[in-house]
Order: sequence, then structure tokens, then C-alpha cells
Amino acid sequence: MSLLEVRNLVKHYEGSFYFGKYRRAKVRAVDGISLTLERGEVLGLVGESGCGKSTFARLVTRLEEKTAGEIYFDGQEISGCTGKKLRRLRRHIQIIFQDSASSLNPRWKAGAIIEEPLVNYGISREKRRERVLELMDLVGMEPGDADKYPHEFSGGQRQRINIARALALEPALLVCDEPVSSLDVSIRAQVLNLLRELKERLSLSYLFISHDLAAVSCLAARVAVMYLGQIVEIIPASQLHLQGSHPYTRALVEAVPAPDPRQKTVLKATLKGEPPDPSRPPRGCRFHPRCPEATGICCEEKPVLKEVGKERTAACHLR
Amino acid sequence: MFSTSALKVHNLSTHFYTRQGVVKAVDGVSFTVEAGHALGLVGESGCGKSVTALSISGLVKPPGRINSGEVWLNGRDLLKTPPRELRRLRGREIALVFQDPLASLNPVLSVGLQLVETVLSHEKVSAGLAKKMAVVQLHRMGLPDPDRLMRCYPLELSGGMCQRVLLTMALLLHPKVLILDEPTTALDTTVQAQILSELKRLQEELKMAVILVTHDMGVIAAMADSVAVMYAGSIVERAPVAELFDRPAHPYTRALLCSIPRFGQEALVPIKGQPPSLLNLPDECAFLPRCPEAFTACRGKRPPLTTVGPGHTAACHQLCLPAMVEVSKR
Repeated sequence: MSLLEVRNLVKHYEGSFYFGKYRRAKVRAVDGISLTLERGEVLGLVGESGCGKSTFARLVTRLEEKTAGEIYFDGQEISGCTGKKLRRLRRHIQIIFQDSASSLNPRWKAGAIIEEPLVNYGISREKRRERVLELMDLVGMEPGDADKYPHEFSGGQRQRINIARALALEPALLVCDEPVSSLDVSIRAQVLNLLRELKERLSLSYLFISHDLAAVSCLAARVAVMYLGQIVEIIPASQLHLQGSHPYTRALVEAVPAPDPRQKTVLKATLKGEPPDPSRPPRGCRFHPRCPEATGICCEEKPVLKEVGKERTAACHLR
Repeated sequence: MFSTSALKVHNLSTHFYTRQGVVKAVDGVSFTVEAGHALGLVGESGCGKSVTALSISGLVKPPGRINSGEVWLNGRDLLKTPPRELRRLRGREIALVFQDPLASLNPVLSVGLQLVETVLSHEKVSAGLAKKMAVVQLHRMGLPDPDRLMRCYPLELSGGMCQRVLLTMALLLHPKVLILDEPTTALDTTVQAQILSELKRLQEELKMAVILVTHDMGVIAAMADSVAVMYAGSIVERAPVAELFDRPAHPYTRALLCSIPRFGQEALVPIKGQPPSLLNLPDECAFLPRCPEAFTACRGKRPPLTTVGPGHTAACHQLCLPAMVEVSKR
């Protein structure tokens, strides 16, 4: 049984009216996503900004209500959970966000921040103190850091506090929404290594969302590529840079500037334009207006995800 | 003397006088950029790359002050140029583009008006001609439908489009030096790739000298001809781009290159610790506390920039070591 299974998940933000006129059209942020995440697996989720990655993360963690579809966690349907049931569920699914500063209360000390989830779930005072120290050690912080305020830490350290807080209740699934994007290169590697180490030690599963394909490929086993609210390809991370089946996957990989002055592939990147407005997605394959290989059928018919190789699925008419 | 180098920066020091003490944001930075070449200025946040860019164009605000140094452009020292004249030079001779495109444009003026304003503040031309120049330049940037774009307001455009408009504005008067401060950091990689290739094409077309400030080694590899690596306010290594990636001489450069996630790589090698605070920096190698290769001779004094190859210099005591060993042998 998969740890997380999502079937046909849909989230539409309704259009708003203003004096009886349309002001904002309906946005199809997540438009029919199905995927599974096994226990102990790291699943990467990549795509351009505005493709619905973060909305998907918020749906899975129940921070946002779905429009349609099903979410199974550990075999149980969780999208209808409310009250006590939802509260119990939150122990098992935790999330860390990109902006390490705004996700910490600036008036609380680091120790209190990490302790908060333990207080919420009624763990005794002595156990809490012990657990906080244990967590701080786990993420590589000094015991003395517990009495500091968030602003006294650097971005990397703050992200460690976020990770410690998320791990306080021993979740099974950690959703990481761009956890390293706002960090410096040298610090980014520290946090990525920490996440890898924690996964091994605590046998965690991650849904790892990022627009940095290289970072994702370092951590994830499989990568799901999203475009305009839909998944266009799921591919093993080791094959990501070699041969994506979907033209969009290849375009994304091409656009990553390689740290090698001999391969200036970025300068020859083929993808033109920007993603279209998600409130008015194109007909047929959503990628066809930007696709270098698009043919007649792409403008007419919607491609479905199908197997294109070993452990690989892609939604493209040409494969 | 200034026939080859479009811009020459010598011993630039910009310090910020705060209540807590003196922050040496830029401390003795020297480099030259030739016409048609791109210099990449790379380093972590807070290493002084942006302040270097601001100092060159005379945009440092109090409590910051340029303490010493020379910035030579066209045989004239920009730091000794009166502000009024500098204003005339900025835009015409030297142009800047910053990271956040939406914050750099005026939200209540149309794109066209802002472009025309740029021309009119520098050239004695009619508004009609200025408009024509703007449209031509937008077209040259490869932007579709320039006439419609001229009527747009910044909030109607995406981040990538705004950055293209800013680049157009910067290139409108064909400056000799273009300073780009993290021009693509706020953008998606797909849009970044498009803008980088457009920039490269324009740079070659207009034979501009470009200073590209970034923290992304991948962008450096694609765009720069030579690279200056900054750490804690000073340049620690300077080399042609291929040389830097093949034979990094400074331990910081090596560590930086190792810490970049690459495709198919399992474990990363991070740099220990945090970048130092620039407040009251000790007078020794600033990388010392994080350096995996530090030895006792590193303490107590600053390493000088030593030549390690053609056009390749680095500031590390280790590089002085062979010479020291030779001296002791004699």
C-alpha cells in the first residue's frame, strides 16, 4: 500500500464578481492530478512558477480544500477529514515552506517554536524539553540556540528550525515546498544533505517541490513534471537529464545553466514564451503552443499519461 | 591606456558606517572589463557584489561611503565626477539593471512613457523620435508587438517581460558598460534561458562591456568571459572562465564549485559554517574559519593576490607556499 495516493485531484479557484461583472476568471490551479508516493520514497515535483506545485502541496497537507478528487494517506481517504480526525492526521503530514523567516513567529524563541507542536498534542513538560533538545541536535543546532529569536539566525539556520518543528511529531510524510530556493549555494548544499540524512535516519518520505531540477535530482528517486495544473511526465530522477520523453521535460532540463563553460546549452534553449494563463488553458495538449514538435493532433486532443518505458509515464501524443 | 579596457576599477573600498561599527562591504576591489567582454562577479549574498555594482555607478547611499578607489571610464574617474555630470553619464555611458524588475519600473506610468522619458532626459530629440527609438529597440530585443507593449503598464506584464523592458531601457542609448545585478534570479529557468541568450546576442552586437553580478555558477559559465569570485568584500580569485572551472586556485572557489547540485550527483559537499559578518572583520584571510585546507601560516595576515597562471590570480596563503618553501631551501 502506498503512503500517499492521489486520484484525479482538482482545485479550481472560482472567479470573482464585481458589480455583476466578471473580474477574475476561474483559475484551474490543479486540474486532475494522479500520483502515488511509496513509503520511504522521495518524489520530486518540478515545473515553472504558476503551474500549481504549491497548490498541490497545500491540498495534500489539507491546508486547502479540494474541488474534486481523492487523497488517500496510508489507505485512508483524508480529503473529507474534519475535527478530531483531521487533527490526528496532521501529526503524520507536515510541511516546510520556502520563506524560512515568515514561517517562524518573530516574537518566539527557537526552542518555543520547536516545542509548539508538542504542546498542541499534549506531551508532558519533561518529555517536551528532552524532545526539543533531541530535535535541535538532529538538525545540527547547538543547545544554546533554543533561547535565540528567529532574527538572530541566518536563513539556513532558520530553515533548520522549520525542519525541526516539522519533525517534532514524527510525521511519516514531509512536504517540502521549495525548501532551499531562498538559500545561498553553500548553505543550500548543507540543507539538502541534512534532508537526505534525516530521511535515512527516520525513514521519512518526502514530497519535494522545487524549480531547481538539479537539486531535485540529487534527492528524489522519481520526479513528476507539472505543466499548467497537470502532470506531463513521471520519470526516474537518474534519467531526468538524459532523456525526458515529454518535450517539456527536455526543455526544462535544457534551461538549467550547467556549471561548465564548455556546454553553453542554456544559450541555445529552444523553449519560447511563458506558460499561458491557467484560467484559459489551451485546447488539446496544454503545452502545444510552446512545443517545438507539436502536430495537428496536439491542438485537438488531450493526451493522457501512459507508459513510455520502464517506470516512466508521459502524456504526449508523439510517444 | 584605455583603448582596450572599457571600465577599470582600482582599489575600490565602500564602507558602511553603522551604529554597530564599520561594515566593510567592499574592501580593495580591482578589476578591468574590456569592450565586448563580460565579467562575472560571483559570490554568496552579503559578499559585496551588489555594493560593488552600486559603487561603480555612484549610487551608494549613506551610511555607505566610497572611501577610496578609482573607477575609470573613457579616461575619466567616475568617483571624482560631480553628481550632476554623473547623472548624465548614467544611462548614456553606463547602465544598470537590477534583480527585481517590478520594483524597478514605475507602476503608474506606461512602459512606453518610461522608455521615452529615458531618451528625452539624455538626448535633445522630439518625443516622436524618442518613441520611434523605443519601438525599434523593443523590436530589436525580440519582443512581439512593440506598439501594444508601449501602452501596457508594468503590472500587466510578467516578470520576464518586465525584465526585458528594463533591458531595453538600459540599452536604449547604447551604453558602453552594462551592469547587471542578478538580472534573472527572480525568474523561472526557462525564462532565464531566453533572456540570457538574448543578452549574449546583444552584447556581441553592441560590443558592450558587461558586468554580471550573480550567485549562480551556471549563469557565469554560460555568460562570462572572465570571473571574479568575491568573499567578504574582497576578490579572492580572478580568472578566465574556463580556467576558473578547470583549475580553481582558491579553496573557496573549489568549495563553491563542489557545493552546486548537479544532475545525477548523489551527495553534495557543502561548505561548513556561515559566511562571516562584515562587521569588524579580522585582518586575516576571511575564509579561514570555513576553509578545509587552512594551515597555521593562514593566521594573522591577509593573503595577497598571487598570479597562478595567465590572467589568473588568487588570494590564498597556500599559493605563496611553494615560493616560501623555495626560499627556505636556498
